[in-house]
Amino acid sequence: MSHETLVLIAKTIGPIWMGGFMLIVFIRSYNPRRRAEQERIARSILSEVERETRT
Amino acid sequence: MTMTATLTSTERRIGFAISAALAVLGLTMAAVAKSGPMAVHGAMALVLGVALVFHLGGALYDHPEPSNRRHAEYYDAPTRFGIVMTLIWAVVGMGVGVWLAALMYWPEATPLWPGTSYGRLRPVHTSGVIFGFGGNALIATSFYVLQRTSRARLADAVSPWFVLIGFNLFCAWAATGYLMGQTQSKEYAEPEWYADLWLVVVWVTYFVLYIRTLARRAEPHIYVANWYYMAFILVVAMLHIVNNLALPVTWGSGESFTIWSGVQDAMIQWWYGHNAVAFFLTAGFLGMLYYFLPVRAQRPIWSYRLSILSFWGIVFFYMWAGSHHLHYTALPYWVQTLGMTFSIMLLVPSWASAGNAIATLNGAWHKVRDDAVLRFMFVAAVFYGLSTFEGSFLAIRPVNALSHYTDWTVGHVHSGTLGWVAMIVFGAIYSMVPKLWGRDDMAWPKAVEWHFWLAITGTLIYVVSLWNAGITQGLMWRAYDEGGALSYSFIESVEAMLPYYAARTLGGALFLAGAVLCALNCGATMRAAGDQVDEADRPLYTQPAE
Repeated sequence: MSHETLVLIAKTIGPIWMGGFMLIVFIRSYNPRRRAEQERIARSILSEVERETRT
Repeated sequence: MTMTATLTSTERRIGFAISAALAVLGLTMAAVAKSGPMAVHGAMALVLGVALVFHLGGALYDHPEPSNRRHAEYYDAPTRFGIVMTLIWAVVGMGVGVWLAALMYWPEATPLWPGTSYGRLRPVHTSGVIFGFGGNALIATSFYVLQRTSRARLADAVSPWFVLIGFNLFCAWAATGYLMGQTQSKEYAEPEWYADLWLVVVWVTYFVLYIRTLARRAEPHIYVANWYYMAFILVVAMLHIVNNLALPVTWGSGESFTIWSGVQDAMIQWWYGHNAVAFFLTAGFLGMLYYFLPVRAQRPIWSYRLSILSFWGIVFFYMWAGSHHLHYTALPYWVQTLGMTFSIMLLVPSWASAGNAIATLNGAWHKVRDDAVLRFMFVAAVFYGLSTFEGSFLAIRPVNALSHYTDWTVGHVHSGTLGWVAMIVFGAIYSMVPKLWGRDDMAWPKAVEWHFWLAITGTLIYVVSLWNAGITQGLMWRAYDEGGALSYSFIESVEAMLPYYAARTLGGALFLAGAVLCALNCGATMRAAGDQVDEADRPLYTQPAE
């Protein structure tokens, strides 16, 4: 494989697969069906603190 | 509570065997090396191993075993030890930093002993604050956060001590090696091959412990702070191994040759160097931010989904940004451009994290006003946003032409390390110490307020003076007269720095004074706790949050 081919792969495949990955992350994390679960996760650390404080 | 009092007799035996192995390793190193830094380091390992053998051996049968109740409690003794080591390294690392800043202004003060030369002390400062202060803080808080977000006790009782004691042995080897003139000449990766191998063993143990504890979690999810801590552990291992691939000159010498050469060596070094900033000095501390700030403000993170998006953005964009350290070098031009482009793209996930943290405080600004601990965290988020903007800006090639090799870079680094990293560490320490030592508050609550103002004033004086210094240097170096000759000699640019170097020393001294105050305050809190610390371990709740 020539140097030019390697450079072409590095310049194209990397950004394309990474852009695709970020798109998948965006779609998954901003899926409205996950909203309630995300809200519960965000609050989970606060309930732990309340419990620790009560003891 | 001492380490041994928290261990069962079986765990003490395991610890005893590991300590004996460490002593043998140290003896072997010292015997093979015969003289030089490696022999000294072997002796240090031998002394530590023997001390631990006596400490654990003396308690094999004497102490009562901890009760079975411990399985229903968090295991916080390692975190307490980690906090103490964090504070010790803070004072040492920052103290050396202030001394070096003074030497920049007053180089005649350098003592005659070679170990006190600027070149040897500089890595003592950088390793002391990055690995000693930052590393211990990361390990200590990661154990604390991991257990509370997973509602699970650490997977075993011996590994956390091995990780913390082993990591501090690495830090001590590094600092003493520099004083003896030992370095493999890689910035932020100066320790020699045997220290690097030791760190790999410690780090793999850390990773396995983290995974095993996560596997035992009582929560269905893995809270986002753990993602950041995991990225920190995993990627630092990868960076450390690849950058430190080297061939020892002989097995008995603390000298080696890197397997990389030429521009590949430079690229590997800055792939490591910038990702050390990303994953040692950012990812783990974002884990701290995502746990301690919402908990202190008693408000959930503003957007959990944004925290996921910024996590993956930071992980994937940072990996490509290192080549911006090599603008205008023999590195292929397109690789430099790639690094510059990704550095600019990095601003999006970085500001998403900073904005997410600041927006979390909406509705809790009165707490920021009244609570110095929360204010530390707020300022950390602001400085994170500012320093990442500055980082992206400095990575732009024409800007870099002015800033590179000047003190602007040093100012930028300290805006990140003092304003962001140290501030979030102090916020986390002030949050944890009263809880872990069984008290309601710090022993000297007003000293926290004093510390905050010393830290913010010191940071601003330091950063602003080096902005001025760096831009002045850059402009003087590129100024030409009508005949095409340089307008200023190099020494003239050095002389122009003196007022800024004096100001930077003052800024650093103020910041150090705050850190010393924090250490004294924590010491007073620990002493005031007395025996209550035995009762401080909190019960864990295995019921998932609703």
